[in-house]
Formats: sequence, structure tokens, C-alpha cells
Amino acid sequence: MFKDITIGQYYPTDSIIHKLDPRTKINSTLLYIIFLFVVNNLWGYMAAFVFLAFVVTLSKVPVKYILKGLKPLVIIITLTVLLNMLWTPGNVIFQVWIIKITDMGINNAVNMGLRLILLISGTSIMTLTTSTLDLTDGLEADIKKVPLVKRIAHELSMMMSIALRFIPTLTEETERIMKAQKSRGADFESGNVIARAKSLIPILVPLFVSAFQRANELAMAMESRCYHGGENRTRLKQLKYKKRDAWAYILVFAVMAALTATRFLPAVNLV
Amino acid sequence: MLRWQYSNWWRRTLKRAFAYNLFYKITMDKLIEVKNVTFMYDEENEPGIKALDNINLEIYKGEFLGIAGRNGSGKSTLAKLLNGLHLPNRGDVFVMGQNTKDENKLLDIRKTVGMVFQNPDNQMVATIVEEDVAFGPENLGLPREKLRQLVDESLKAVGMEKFKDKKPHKLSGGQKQRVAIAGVLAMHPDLIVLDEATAMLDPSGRKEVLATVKRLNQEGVSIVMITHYMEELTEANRIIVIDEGKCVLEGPPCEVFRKQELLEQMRLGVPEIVEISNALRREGVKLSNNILTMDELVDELCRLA
Repeated sequence: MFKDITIGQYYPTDSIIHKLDPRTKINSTLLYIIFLFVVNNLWGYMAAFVFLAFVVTLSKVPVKYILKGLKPLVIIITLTVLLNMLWTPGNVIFQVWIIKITDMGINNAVNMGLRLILLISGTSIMTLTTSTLDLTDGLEADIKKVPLVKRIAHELSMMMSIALRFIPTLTEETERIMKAQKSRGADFESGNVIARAKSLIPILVPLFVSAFQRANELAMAMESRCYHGGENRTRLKQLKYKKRDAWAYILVFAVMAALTATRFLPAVNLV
Repeated sequence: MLRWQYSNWWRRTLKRAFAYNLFYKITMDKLIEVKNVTFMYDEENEPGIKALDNINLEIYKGEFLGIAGRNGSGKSTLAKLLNGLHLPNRGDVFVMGQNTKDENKLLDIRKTVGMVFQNPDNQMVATIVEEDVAFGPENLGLPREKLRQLVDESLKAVGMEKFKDKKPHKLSGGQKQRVAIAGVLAMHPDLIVLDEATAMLDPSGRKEVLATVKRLNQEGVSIVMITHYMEELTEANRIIVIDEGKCVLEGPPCEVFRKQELLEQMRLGVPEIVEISNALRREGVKLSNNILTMDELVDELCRLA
């Protein structure tokens, strides 16, 4: 039941996007997110869409997977679109009872919807093409550059990588506990929502106890192996920028400039 | 090959036959000295739980020491005292002459004394085998080329070089434990303490780990094997039996195994072969004192026949 749980939905292929340095991908995604909010008309969204389509093609990740990433957020997207449509003042186009739909409303709704979709698919392209390991390394390297939080960069990435390391172990454990409780007659399937939530307690309590025990043992094992925080620590794998990263940065900067430029194009009004 | 076998045989016989105590204490260098150590859990609540009671022992360079005892005898506590994870309430532990109470020396001590724990899952830090092996040397701040070399070399030493890019949770128990040993080995320790490292493994995993440990010992790494399976200690140079926080028995395996009744009182069995030869001896068959393996028993019986 938990066997196919994947965190960070990595989709391995041998594309150039996969081979990029994780820092390049994280930084580009950040820039992309920021500039999606700079964009204010349809031209900009079209430009961003073209860029995204280009990256997706390069990455060889099936479009299906990116759409899958949108699925859990459909409710949020629809809600945003509806709210924007209904509560924006402007020239009323048509009215049913107290529900007024305005031209501004439609424009805003379309803009917000597109923005959200582009945002989510853009970030999922990053997580689909970067393994969790690279992601933590990239984040550590990035956080080290930020003045106020650079001291905790090592701790942060260590916690993240240990958490990732223990996900399969703990899911296995959960399954084992579930089987054990089931064999003693526990029932997880029937009853209403509250009854089902309550039936989770006999799983969660042993799981927590064992997680703490594991943490304790892990801490001891780490200390035995001379762990003493991030000071003077070296790494086996070090991130190194390659030529393709430079090209990627150039491309991203160009696209971001283009996105900013679209602000000065005449606005397209749908209605 | 034949010569190697012979020399090994001779060494084994010599070690078993001669007054081994004398042999070690004069010829070998002391690696660890445990002096009058008492350790209590829960010391705030008087009287506390005494896990170790005035223990004295020495561990020598190059030896394979077995520490046996039933659950709750204090053997794991003893292991944690050896690299400063626990500090003694009374008495001192010296590793290469350095007191474990000296905080500045703690890294040196932990580099000298590597530790492998019972649960293989709870001692893996990284998500990739080779990165886990690199964890120790990374903490020591070694340069990158050196890290690479240490990782490759220690994975090879435990026969896991093919698995270096694998994820630890995809390995079998024995393989995980071998990776854990490699992780310790990468720091070039003088001593590896295995704290019930085989307890959670299946028989084949146990064999893998034991074979690895034996090979490392032959290459000069001292081994302390903590266990309650006496079968694992037939290859040891010396066995110390601990019960209720005290050293009860000490000696080479053949000597310790002959006190079968005493061991059984402490809920420790002896290996099957030893049990058989002890029984035969009781029945009046004149067997020599140093039978530990099937081959040796067969040889001995053929000699008598």
C-alpha cells in the first residue's frame, strides 16, 4: 500500500535538464516564480508558456506527469478562478440574481488561473528532473549564500537528507505495525471518518515510539563516527558548475528579460 | 595457499595451547584499558541501576576479543564506554593512553575505536551507499581525493564495491551491516567494536558479517565482538563473559567453553561441537582440550579410533 510512495516525484531520464547542476535549476525556478508575478498580461503568460514547453521538451518528461502534478491543486485553481471572477468590480457583462460577472473579473480570473498553472508546472519540472539528493545538496549550497541563515545551512540539509533517508524505513515500519494490529483484530476500513481517524492511534503511537528510538540510535551511531556538526566538514560529492549551466543561466536571464518586456506590450482584453 | 593454511594452523594451535595470558600480556600492545569502571544508569535517583560493577579489562592490538553475556548483563554498556559514548561514573577508560573523559581527545578516540551497532537501518546516514561510507571521513575533514580513495578501498575490503551507487534500504541485512563496517573502516580504526551486530541478521547474513570480520582481523584490525551467540566466538583469541555487570570468566574459547554448566547458569549456550565433545569427555573419551570445530572433532575421533 505504501510501496509506491515517492517524495519529490523524480522522473529519471538522461536529458540535459537532468544533467544541469541542481543550483542552476533551483535558482532558475526561483527567478521564474518571481517573474511570473512581474508579468501582467496575456503576452507574458504566452511567453512563459513557450519557455516552459521548451524546457519540458528538453527534459523528455512526459506531459502526463506534469499534468498529474496539477491534479491535487485543481480545487485551489478553480476556487481562485471563481473568486476572482465573482468579486472583481468593473463593467457588468451579465448578471444572475446577485452574481455579477464583470469584464475585469474575467480578465483577472484568466490571468490568475494561468499564473497558478504555470507556477505549479514550472516547479514540478524542477522536482521531476532533480533527485532528492541533488535537491538537498543544491539547497544547502544556496542557503550558504544567504547571509542570515548560512549558519544553519549544514544542519538544515542534514535534517532534510536524514528525513529523506528514513522515509522508506518508516513506511516499511508502518506497514509492519498495521499488519500486526490487523492480526490482532484491528479494523481500519469500516466506520465513519472519526472512527477511522481514531483507529489510526494504535498505528501512530508505536510508530512514534520506534521513530524516537531510531533517532536515538542514529545519533549514537553518528557520534561514534566523529560527527560534530558542520565545522571542518568536507564532502565526497561537490557541486561543480559546467558549461551547460552557463548557457542555461544565459537562456533564463534572456527569457526573464523578455517576460519583463511583455509588460510594455498593449494589454489584451478578452472581453 | 597450503603454506598459508599451515602457518595459520600453527598460529591457532600455538595461541590455544600456550599460556595465552602470558603471551598477550607480554607481547601485545595495550589498545584499551578499562580500570575499575562502575557505570550506573539513572544516577539521579538513588540508588540508580548499576549496569557495570568495578570492571577491569584490557584490549590488545590485533586481538579478536569476544564479550559474551545474556540480555541485561551490561555488555552493550561496556561497548559504549569504549569510545566515550558513555562516561564511567567511577574509574577510567583509556584508549591508546587517552582518557575518554577528556573531551578534546574524543574525536581521536572515536577515530581509533569504530563501532557497529545492532540495527543496520539505524546507523545509515546517507541515501546512497558510498555517501554513507564517506560520512566518517567527511566528519574528519579529509580532502576530497582522499575521501574517494578511502571509500573505494573500504567498500572493497568488505566486498561491497558493486553496490556503491545503491540505496541502503534496497540491500539485505548482511549487506547493510557490511556497509556499516565499511563506514567504520574508512576512518582506519585500530579497533572495531561490534555491538551485537549480527543479532538482527538471518543465518546467511550472519555468516557474511563474521567472514568479513575475520578477514579484517587477519589484516591486523583488532575486533571486539559482543554477542550472546557463543558460536560466533569460536574464532576469538579470548572471551570475556559478563554477568550482572561483572567479569565472570576470561580465557581462550576452549577454556571458557569447558565450563558449560556455569555458562548455562548464565543462559549462555556453548557451540554444538563443544557440547558434544564435553559430553564425550564426561563419558570418558580422552579428547584433547582444544576442540572447537567440526573438523577438529572429526580429526580427534579418527585419531582415537
